[in-house]
Amino acid sequence: MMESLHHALHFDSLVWHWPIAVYLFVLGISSGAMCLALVIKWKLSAQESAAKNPLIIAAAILVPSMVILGLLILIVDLTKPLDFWKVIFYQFANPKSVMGRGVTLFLLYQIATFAWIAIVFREELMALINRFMPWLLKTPGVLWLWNTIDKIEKPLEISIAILAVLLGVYTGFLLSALTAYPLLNQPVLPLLFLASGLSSGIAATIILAAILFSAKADTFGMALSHRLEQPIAWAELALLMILIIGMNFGGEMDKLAIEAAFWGGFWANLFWIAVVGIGLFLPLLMNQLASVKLKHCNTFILSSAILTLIGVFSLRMFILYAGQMTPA
Amino acid sequence: MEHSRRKFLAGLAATTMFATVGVAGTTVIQTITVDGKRYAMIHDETLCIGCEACVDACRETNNVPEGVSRLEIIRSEPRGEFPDADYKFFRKSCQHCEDAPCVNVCPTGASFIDTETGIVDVDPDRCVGCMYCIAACPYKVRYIDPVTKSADKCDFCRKTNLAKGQLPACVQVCPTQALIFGDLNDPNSDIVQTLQQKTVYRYKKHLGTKPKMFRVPDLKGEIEL
Amino acid sequence: MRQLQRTLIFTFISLCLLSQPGFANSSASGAAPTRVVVEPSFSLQTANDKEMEKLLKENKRCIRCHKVKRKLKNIAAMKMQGAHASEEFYNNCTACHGDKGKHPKNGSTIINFSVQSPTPLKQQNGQCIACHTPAELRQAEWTHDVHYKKINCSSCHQLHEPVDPVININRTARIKLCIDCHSSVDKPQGDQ
Ligand code: SF4
Ligand code: SF4
Ligand code: SF4
Repeated sequence: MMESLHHALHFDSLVWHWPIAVYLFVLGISSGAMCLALVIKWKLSAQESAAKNPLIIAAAILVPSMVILGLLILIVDLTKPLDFWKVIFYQFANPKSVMGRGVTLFLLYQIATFAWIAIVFREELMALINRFMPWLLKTPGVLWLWNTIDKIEKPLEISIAILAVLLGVYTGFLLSALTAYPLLNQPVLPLLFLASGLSSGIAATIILAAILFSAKADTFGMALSHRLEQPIAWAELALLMILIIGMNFGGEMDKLAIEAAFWGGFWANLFWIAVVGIGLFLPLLMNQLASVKLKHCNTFILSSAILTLIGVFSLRMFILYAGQMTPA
Repeated sequence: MEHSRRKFLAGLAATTMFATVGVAGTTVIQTITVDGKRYAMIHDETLCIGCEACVDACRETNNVPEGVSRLEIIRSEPRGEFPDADYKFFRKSCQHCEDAPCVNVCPTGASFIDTETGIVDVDPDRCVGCMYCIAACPYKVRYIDPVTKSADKCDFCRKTNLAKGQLPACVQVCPTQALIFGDLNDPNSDIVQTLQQKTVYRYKKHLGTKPKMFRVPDLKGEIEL
Repeated sequence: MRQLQRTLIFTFISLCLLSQPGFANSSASGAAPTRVVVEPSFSLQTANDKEMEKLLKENKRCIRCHKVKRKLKNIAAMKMQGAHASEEFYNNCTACHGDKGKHPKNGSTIINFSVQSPTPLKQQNGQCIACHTPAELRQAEWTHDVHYKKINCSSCHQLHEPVDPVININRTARIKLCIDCHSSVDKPQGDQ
């Protein structure tokens, strides 16, 4: 047992290890949470304040922190962590690099999301600043800047939505750019990662909102998020099917890669049990069987969210490791 | 490049499609940059005896630390039965791809193609060690140098022997002359001459990497392309 | 992997040496032997006491002459040590070299291991392969596979020494050995 686990986690063609899976996972959460927050905000009625909505608060915490966490993981995983600034400094040296464009994307995304948080939580932040560092508001330009971004709220939100989707897609492109591995070099991978990123973002936001800000399952936001989960799960299933079937129509190496990844072995088990079983089927099934009353209970929503998170993280691990098992 | 030829080519763009080598009835069409060199290598598997002199010469010349290597000679399973068994040898080293996946993915531009020689190289100062290139290389020839912590691989001895006007160390030491090195843009070079005479194949050519490592197959049984 | 393989071969051979000291000079192998174990393949030569007697007589006759230098034909004094020496059979010359026959007169059937030897290559190497199986040989060193029919074993191996000098040579020496024979004349190839 330990032997086979060791084999599953260490093999010759393995270059990127689990930290990259965590990196892809947290970036997906950030992207998904951002999308959810925007959808909720757009759907809120005029009287409701976005700043008071537990889901939007939870998302506002998750979005920047997950990107920062992801970047930290990436930096620590470099062989020369202290040289990380070169990635930013030289990011345009190779315009074709997916990772280089990812860095550009992070920077824009981080700036844009901070600006958005500043708009949405303007009053709360003002109060905080007035109390702890009143000099900041007297600094020339700060207020002006704040007012300016206030005015471009709508275009900003639209650009953030685009950036968030790009971030979700980027996690997939990072791997699908690797021609060296047939399972990774698949055009559906970015879409698959976008979809699973969305569901993990929603799930993480729900959990955080319910635990920290005691969001109730029967409020509008929670119900909406929960409703969004299902079609995304179906989309993920469909994309996985397309991946498997599509690769079966592919060349010899595609077939070998499919064979090694999905049938037999540690990673195949992880895929069928954790990714498909726990992460997709179980939540879908629970939803079909549960009564309306049960569905509005917090425990139910929480458990389904946790299952989703497990499934999405397993998917990241699975794609990363199983993908690197078969070189072209 | 002599004058007349340059004039002849003057009408063509600097980078042009040009049939350089005719190989056993087929033609290898390659994109050539007219004035630059395009270094390439042939590993003649029919001549290779698997002595690994090249491996050691490379380590010594290029100061490659123990534990990693810029090239490996991979010996096949024995073919046939004793005392008639023999082996096939495969050189695993950088192919100096013209469309190099390692270069394409590098976020800092540390991996690059030297425009004067066509050699794929790494700038160790700029490399941050993200290992994207190592994952991207379909030939699995890159490694992290345990000393510099940068990605590294065969550079056709660009910074050592070639800089001194000598042939790469592995080519120099090969006792059976199974390795041939030269400029694909020079029709009189040994490498172009050899390519015109011998059947060659390139490994994983279908991936579109345009590798510049040619191999003369040891023709017994099926060859893997 | 190769390193491990080499270490294993080395330990195996050292063990053989320790358990089978040569006659006359057993201290050459370093540690003093405590017990003599005869290689089973050597014992296979004799089926009964009568044959054993003949064998011992033959071996003693070889030693009688060859323990000193043979000046006329300029053959150095022979001493048998190492893995192939056998105390039980008084050195066991005949196991490899064959029966004395007419030797030293002309036309003897004695088997001589060297490049200049009148014994055909196939017969020379056949003596070795009688005990050393192809599988063993391949495992110890893959080059056995490609050289067996082309050069005689004695080109690389010396059995009268306490340790065959070719065993456990380092990587550099091994590569040099390849280059020594395989070098082609018109080098170098390629151009700048
Ligand atoms: S063989 Fe690998 S390291 Fe060499 S140029 Fe091609 S992709 Fe890059
Ligand atoms: S490891 Fe170095 S050379 Fe390779 S892609 Fe990363 S920065 Fe570029
Ligand atoms: S060309 Fe130079 S760097 Fe490349 S394998 Fe040969 S000796 Fe090593």
